[in-house]
Order: sequence, then structure tokens, then C-alpha cells
Amino acid sequence: MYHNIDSGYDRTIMYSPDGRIIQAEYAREAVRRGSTVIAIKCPDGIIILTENRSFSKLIIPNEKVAQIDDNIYIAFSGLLADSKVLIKEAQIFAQINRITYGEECDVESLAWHLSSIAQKITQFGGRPFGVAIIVAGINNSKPELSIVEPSGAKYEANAIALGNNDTEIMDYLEKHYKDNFSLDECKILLEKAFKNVKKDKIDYNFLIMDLKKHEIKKTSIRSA
Amino acid sequence: MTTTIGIKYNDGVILAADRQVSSENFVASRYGEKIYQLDKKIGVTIAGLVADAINLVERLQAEFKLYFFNKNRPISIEAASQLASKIFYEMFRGGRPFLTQILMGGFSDDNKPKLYVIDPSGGKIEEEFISTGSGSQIAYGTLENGYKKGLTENYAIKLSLEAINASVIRNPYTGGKPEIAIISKNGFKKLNEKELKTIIEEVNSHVS
Repeated sequence: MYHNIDSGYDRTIMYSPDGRIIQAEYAREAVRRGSTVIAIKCPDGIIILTENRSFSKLIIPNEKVAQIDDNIYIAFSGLLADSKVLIKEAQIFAQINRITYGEECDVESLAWHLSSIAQKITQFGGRPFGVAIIVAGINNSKPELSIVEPSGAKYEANAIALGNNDTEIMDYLEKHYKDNFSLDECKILLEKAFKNVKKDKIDYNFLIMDLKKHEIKKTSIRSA
Repeated sequence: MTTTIGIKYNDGVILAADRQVSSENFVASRYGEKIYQLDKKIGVTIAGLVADAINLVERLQAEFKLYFFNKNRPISIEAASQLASKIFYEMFRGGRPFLTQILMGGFSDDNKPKLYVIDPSGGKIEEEFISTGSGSQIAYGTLENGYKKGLTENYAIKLSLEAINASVIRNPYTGGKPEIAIISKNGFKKLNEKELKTIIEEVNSHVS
């Protein structure tokens, strides 16, 4: 019987002979099937755009943004059911942090916590999370943006796109992003980047964390 | 070793307390804090062991926030006091009770003001007005006399202040300046020093 040396490694959480964990890469593909989420950071705050699509007119699309604490929100793309587990974990972590230290939770330490949960699966078994998560928040009057991938990889970003068409949007953002943008300029860039790849009319939501006005607000934009 | 007071008025709840922290016969502080905000429209007074009380307050603050994130609406005072009562009861039956008694004021889902007292065993009672702590019996003298249904905010604040004043004078474990919080439809608000001063002056001129 023909036997390929590479076969089978995509069915376990084991290294393939060329050193990859293929299940974690498949999980990243699951994220790419999710609706688009774009986040952008500037000195005045953070804006997150979430695509509001569902497969039927009769179905109300789910929220892709969740509040974790007064200063932190999470946006995600991928399997919705998986995201719920991580959101609940994050909310409880933030409150435990508050009770333990009497201060607001750091965006980075929350991201590390979520990344360690995701990492455990890639080492000790189970199905990796099918979501990538953007942790957006404000610490000491500074905006922070961290991303946690299904593999457990965690990194900071100035701008990030997840889900559908993520690579095209990232290309667009890379070309046009400047780190001294104002919030309004960021908002325009997000809309342009989104509409550049989405040819048909799709509703989307904004989450705006405005440092100058000390407010966090949500708006939804209907394209039809 | 405290006097705390809760009074329901026509559209809210007044919480009041003295600020003396006593350690047996020693005054540990004259500037203690005995009124805390638990949620946007929920306030609490504490009496008894400070360590237990603070621990409980922090736990409840966290629980109410998680409730809001999970259900997307603020917790009602009924549910909030129920949770507090359950925590008290579990500790009590577990053999290490929280040695504190709390007053909890807030709003029900249909926006009616409500006031609860919860004791270390988890017993929860709804009241129109109430006082706890070592000076409570003295405060009740003033409260029973002055309380009527449907009080105005201003009258309720003055009544609570008079009751605290009586306890400060007659109870050795009650003292310092008073602390007053208003829980109304606009949320939780503690009176600052300036506001307290004007009300204290008004009350004093009324007495003399």
C-alpha cells in the first residue's frame, strides 16, 4: 500500500516532519471563513469595524464585539461558539484581576491569559479554538491592541484584519496607514479598506474607543 | 460598632453612616468609609468587621458587572440582594460567616426604589427605613418619629442626618463626620463635603 510520510499529521496535534502543527493552521483557515473584523489604533483611541452579515435575511447577525470590563473590549472572527468560551474566561479574568490588585486589567495580560488557554490545546490535545481574537482596550490613557491566534500566538498591532478577505484588507491598510492618524481619519480608512474588497452591500458596525472624549460608543451602519 | 441608616423616599433611597472605625474601645479612624457603590444604581452600607465587608463589596461589584456583560442589562435590586444573601448563607453554613451586616438600596426592574437589610446568616428583609450597628437603637428613636411614606429627597436626607447625629452624641462607638449617599434614577451619588456642610447647617438651624 502506498504510504506518504506526511500523511496523518493533519489529524493530530503533532508536528509534521517539516515542523508544523497542521491542526493549528487549519484552525486559522476556520477564522478566515468568518466575517471580517478590522481594528485600527491611533494616539486618540481605537476603532473596530465588524461585518454584519448572516446567511439569511430572517436571521439576525450576532454581535462580534463583547465588553470585558470598563476599559476592554474583545472582537473576534471565526467560530462563534468557540468565542463564547474565551469571552466568558476573559470577563472573569478581568474581574479577578480587579479584586486581586484593585486596578483595571491590562490588555496585554488579558491577551497572555487567552493565549495560554489556546496554547494548551496545541500541546496537550483537543481541537484548537476556531477563533482569532482582538483585545482592544485602554491602559493608563493609552490605547492597546493585542491579537491572539488559535495557535496561541499573541502579538500587538497598529492595525489588523481578520476573517474574510483579511489579506487583501491588510495589504490596503499597509499601504495607507499612518501612525499619526486622528480617529476620524482612521474611521475613513477602515471604511475604505472594507468597501474596497466588499463589492456588494453589507451592513457593518463600529466600536469607537475615544480617548479624548472619554467615551466608548457603538454605531451600526446600514448600507441598504 | 457603627450607625448606618437607610431610608426609602418617593423616588429613591438614602444611605447614611458615621465615619468612626472602632477597635474595641479604641478609635482606629475617624474617616472610615462605610458606603460603597456596587453598581450604577445600587449602593450599600457596611457595619461590623471591615475586612469581611470589603471582601464582600468587591465580590459583589465583580458579580454585578459579570451579570451585566452576560445579560446585557443591569441587575435589579431584588436579584442583587438575593445573591448577597446567598453568599452570606453559604459562608454561615460553611462555618465561617461574614461578620458584617449590610443595607442595600437600589431599583427593581420596574424602577421602584427598594431597601434591604441582610444579616450574617443570610436573612434578607425588605424595609421602608432601617438602621444597623451599635448606634441603631438610638437612631431608631429619630427615625420612628420622623418617617412617613413618600418623603421628599431633601427631607429624607435631613432625617437620616438627624438620626446619625443622635447616635454620634449618645453611642460611644459612633462618631466622626457623617457620610451620605443618594440612589436615585440618575444613579448613585455620594454627597461631597461642601454639600454635606450646607445640609448640616440647615439641620442645626432647624433644631435650635
